[in-house]
Amino acid sequence: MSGDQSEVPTKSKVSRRRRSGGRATRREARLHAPIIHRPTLVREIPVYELLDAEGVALVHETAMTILEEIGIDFIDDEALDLWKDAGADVSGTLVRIPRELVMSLIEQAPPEFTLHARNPDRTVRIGGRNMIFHPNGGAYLCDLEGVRRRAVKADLPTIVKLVHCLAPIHVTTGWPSIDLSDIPVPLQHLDQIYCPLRYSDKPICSNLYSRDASEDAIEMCRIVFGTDFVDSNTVTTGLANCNSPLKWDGTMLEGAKIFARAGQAVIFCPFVIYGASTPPHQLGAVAQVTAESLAGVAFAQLVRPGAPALFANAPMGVSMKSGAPTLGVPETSQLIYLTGQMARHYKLPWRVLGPVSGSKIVDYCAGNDAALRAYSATLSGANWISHSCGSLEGAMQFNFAKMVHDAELMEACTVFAKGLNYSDIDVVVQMLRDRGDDSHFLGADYTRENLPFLPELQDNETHDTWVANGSKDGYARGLEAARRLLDRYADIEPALDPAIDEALLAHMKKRERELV
Amino acid sequence: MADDDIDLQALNDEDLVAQMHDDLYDGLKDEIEEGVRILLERGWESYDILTKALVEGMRIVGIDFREGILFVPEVLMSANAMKGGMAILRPLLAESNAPPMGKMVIGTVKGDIHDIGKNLVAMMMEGAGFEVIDIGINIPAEDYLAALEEHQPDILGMSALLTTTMPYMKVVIDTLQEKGVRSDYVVLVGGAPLNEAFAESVGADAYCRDAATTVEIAKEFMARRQGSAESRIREKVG
Ligand code: B1M
Repeated sequence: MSGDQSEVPTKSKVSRRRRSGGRATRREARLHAPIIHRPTLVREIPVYELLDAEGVALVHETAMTILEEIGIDFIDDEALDLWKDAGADVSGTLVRIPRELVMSLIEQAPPEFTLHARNPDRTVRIGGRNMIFHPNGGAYLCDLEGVRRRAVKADLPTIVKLVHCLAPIHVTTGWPSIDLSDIPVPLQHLDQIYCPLRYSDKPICSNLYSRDASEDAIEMCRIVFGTDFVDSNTVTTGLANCNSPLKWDGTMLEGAKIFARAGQAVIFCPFVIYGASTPPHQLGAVAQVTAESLAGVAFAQLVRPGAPALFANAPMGVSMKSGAPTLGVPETSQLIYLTGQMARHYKLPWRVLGPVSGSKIVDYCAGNDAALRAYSATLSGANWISHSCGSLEGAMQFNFAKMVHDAELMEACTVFAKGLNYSDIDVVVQMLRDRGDDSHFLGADYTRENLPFLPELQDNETHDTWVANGSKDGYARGLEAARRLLDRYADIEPALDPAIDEALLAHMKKRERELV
Repeated sequence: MADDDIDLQALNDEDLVAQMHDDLYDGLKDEIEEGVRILLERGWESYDILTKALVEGMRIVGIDFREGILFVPEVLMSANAMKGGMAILRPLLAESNAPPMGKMVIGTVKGDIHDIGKNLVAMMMEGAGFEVIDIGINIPAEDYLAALEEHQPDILGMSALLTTTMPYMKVVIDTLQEKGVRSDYVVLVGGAPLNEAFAESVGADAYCRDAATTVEIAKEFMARRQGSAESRIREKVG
């Protein structure tokens, strides 16, 4: 399984055979391979682009027309004042933004930035050729016993611990991973910020869904990272979804302002249902999304020039038989590629929704949706792939077994994005020359030292071998793997300074009293 | 066979009603309005036009929607055609003593701005002949109450898509309870994260898993309401 693989294989010439320590060493290495958290993935493959230059110009022109002539609603008085002062045409809540204004604002947004983790080794880079994977969740949890239910407070540490053990997943999350049904709504965010800070040392994402949640996220990050550090560095990222078509809602804007003002990153994401919240036209839909997301990124610059902000799109489709969101459909892949091109056109870091499925269980539909979306996101050059593990039911369910399966899929995408090995061709030619009577290269030193990707959660054995191993389906294998990984958490649990932990808990206690 | 040039006037009543069923199916608003006017001219009772031509036509649309033969945009066209016919009939129905089709106030609860599903439900309900007052998103209890007061509907519909906002449905229902008006309304709730057990726990009358089911459930409750209203009248008279 993905977490157990020691290193993304790097190709090398064959080295001399040495004593390796025999069985004991090999068994230890294979059975208890260290979990090596992946650093930021730097893409070495070309991106897949569907638009020619004319296409990019058309989408841009259409987006500018939308911004200048149709306008976007900003349901927030302060936002409207900021736009007015900046020279936009504001009438009621409708803001029409001249193209020169929007372009000059987005130029202030950093094309790349660093998202710091409390352990500097886990710090990641957002933008450019960098790619990172981040999980999200939903309303229901499908737990380690395979029971679909509402999550409770006690589940969140388990979720965060599992994400911590998933080597290919760069960022951890307390939110919006899952809401905790036994905690009053106004207090939930406290655990959702605490758990990722406490149980993982990967970078975190946090909730900007309300003023309290946004302020507590920043405050608790200050406790962990230090106030000065937070003031001049990005240590968390929040997600603001646009209420497409063409509306930025007050709740989201309030949170976005708090984050931007504190120098923390905001993902400005139209979470669109293609054909429902956009017209069913690929270029037109991306023009709409471009206008919406650019307006968000530009707004962040009004709040604080230079504020890190992500361009984004989270495209879903719609079943015209019911209105239900669909995931692994061809148009969503097209939208993913088009959004990537536009992000690069504007030199903005960008986020996309990854391997989510509409399926209720871990089945063919889940695998199909996940694979299509994961590879589309990878080939599109997305900098930030969210919902990158565990998401089912159109992001309504967070599933432990799928978390591990998706992590393996994201590991495969990692290997894919790292590109090709252009050296060693001479070795290969030599292997062909030296093949002798062998009909294969399985025994070659070069093969031993350059093991291809090993999908451990897929079962590719013969039928009888599969039966002998217990006839387990993918879901059962995923659940087992999740349990095995969680058993290993204790070995890699990142320590948190007890004084910091105490300060976090004290802050939470205080806020619990204030917020109830 | 599709034929654009049918002269509705030339059809006898039976053929005209059958044609109206097809025109509803095809979402032809002008033709439905014309059909309604012709039947009125021919002396039909507004209630008969409603039930035999429109509601029956939409019942057929509903079946094919559930079976996956008709698609959402097509059903919305049908619903729009139905609305056209209803607009003509509504004042006449109000004057007659025909049993009402039903009225619903619907909105997405406080803190929640998801409305695609709610809008779909509202349109399907209108398509089935209900009068729908959509009060929008992010609705606090007092606004629900004010709308109930103002419009006197049979049904209160609430939608929520967030687990953090769905508990608010209980706040609204408890407020109805406190004001002593809970039993005046059928309370229907829906939204992807809800389920039967949740609806029961907040004291709603029913959970509606999708738009088509909502229509069915609403019709059932209207039938029951009319049944109990009639029996109340009978009790009083007797
Ligand atoms: C009688 O009354 C009735 C009867 C039946 C009723 C009824 C009322 N209401 C519904 N029904 C039923 O009939 C309808 C038709 O068949 C059905 O309606 P549905 O609404 O289920 O179905 C629609 C036809 C299609 N479905 C939808 O429209 C919802 C799809 C998903 C993807 C979704 C969308 C589109 C959006 N979102 Co939101 N969104 C998700 C949703 C995930 C999902 N798979 O559901 C969900 C619900 N969102 C979520 C979140 C977190 C959020 N969203 C947010 C915002 C948005 C958008 C604005 C981007 C957009 C909504 C646009 C709009 N105008 O509605 C934010 C909250 C905003 C707010 N304050 O409400 C934000 C907080 C994200 C953010 N940080 O910005 C998640 C909730 C998690 C949880 N714990 O509950 C979520 C599950 C996705 C996820 N995992 O992120 C039935 O449920």
